[in-house]
Amino acid sequence: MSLTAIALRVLFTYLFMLVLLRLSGKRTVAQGTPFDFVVALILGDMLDDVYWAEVPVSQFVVGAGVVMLAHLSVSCIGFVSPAFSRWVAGVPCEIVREGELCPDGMRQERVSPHDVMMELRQDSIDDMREIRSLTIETSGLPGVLFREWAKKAQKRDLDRVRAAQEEAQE
Amino acid sequence: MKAPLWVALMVASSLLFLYGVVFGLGDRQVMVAPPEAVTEGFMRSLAAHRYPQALPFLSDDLQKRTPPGDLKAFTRRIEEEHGPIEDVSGEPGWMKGDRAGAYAVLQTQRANDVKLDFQLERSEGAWSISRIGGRNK
Repeated sequence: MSLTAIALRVLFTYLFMLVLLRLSGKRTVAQGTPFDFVVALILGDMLDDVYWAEVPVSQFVVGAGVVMLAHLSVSCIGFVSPAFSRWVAGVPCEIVREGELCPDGMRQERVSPHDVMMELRQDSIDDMREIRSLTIETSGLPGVLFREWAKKAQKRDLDRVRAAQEEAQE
Repeated sequence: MKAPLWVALMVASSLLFLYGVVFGLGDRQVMVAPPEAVTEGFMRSLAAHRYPQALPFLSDDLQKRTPPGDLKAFTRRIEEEHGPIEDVSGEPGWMKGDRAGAYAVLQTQRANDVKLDFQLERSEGAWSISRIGGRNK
């Protein structure tokens, strides 16, 4: 198999995938849901067969196109039908609420207290009482909402303190 | 919401481009599996004893004349003579118009570089095996 043939096949599939992923939107690249992740895996695995001419390029085009069409169709239906979206992608699950562990949510996501503590440490949180809500999102990543008093100071807070200091001095 | 339409259009455009390259420009080994890749794929299927999966590598005419039992017997003869097939690689041979020759080089338990030659023909843009050859010394 000539190096030129390999180079041309790789170039074609690279350009094809570039346009395909661009058309599919940012979700496939971000792998936000399990289905986005699966599509990315499938497309990545299909490339290998084309590079080494194990399948004709036309078969790859049809295969990759059908996978992406199915994926986009699922996304569009999910956008129109929240119920379908919940069925496909699942729903976020709360595992910590108001500083306390939620056993039901932990059981559903098969998350142990050890896993929760690890997650908190990775987010540099050393006190669970700071957390208003810790949710496992449909992407599998945790989303943290802090209690009001635990939120990081912002510029408006400093402005309020300065204003109060100036009032006190007057 | 128009994304599926754009993807379908892109797939159709790509297939049209490939059709032009294969049938218009007469590409025989870039956008289609070249003869050596076909022979390698065929022999890999036989080495894995996946005889129904090996059949599509044969031309329509040869498929009609070759029951899966023949492929099994062919594989068994190789294994009896040289040992189980451990690896296969395809090598290009000659190419003239819509006919070509290619080789499958087998690494077996008892022998290295057992070279089998095949003849292929191109039909509807794709190569397929028209004659399963013997050992090329």
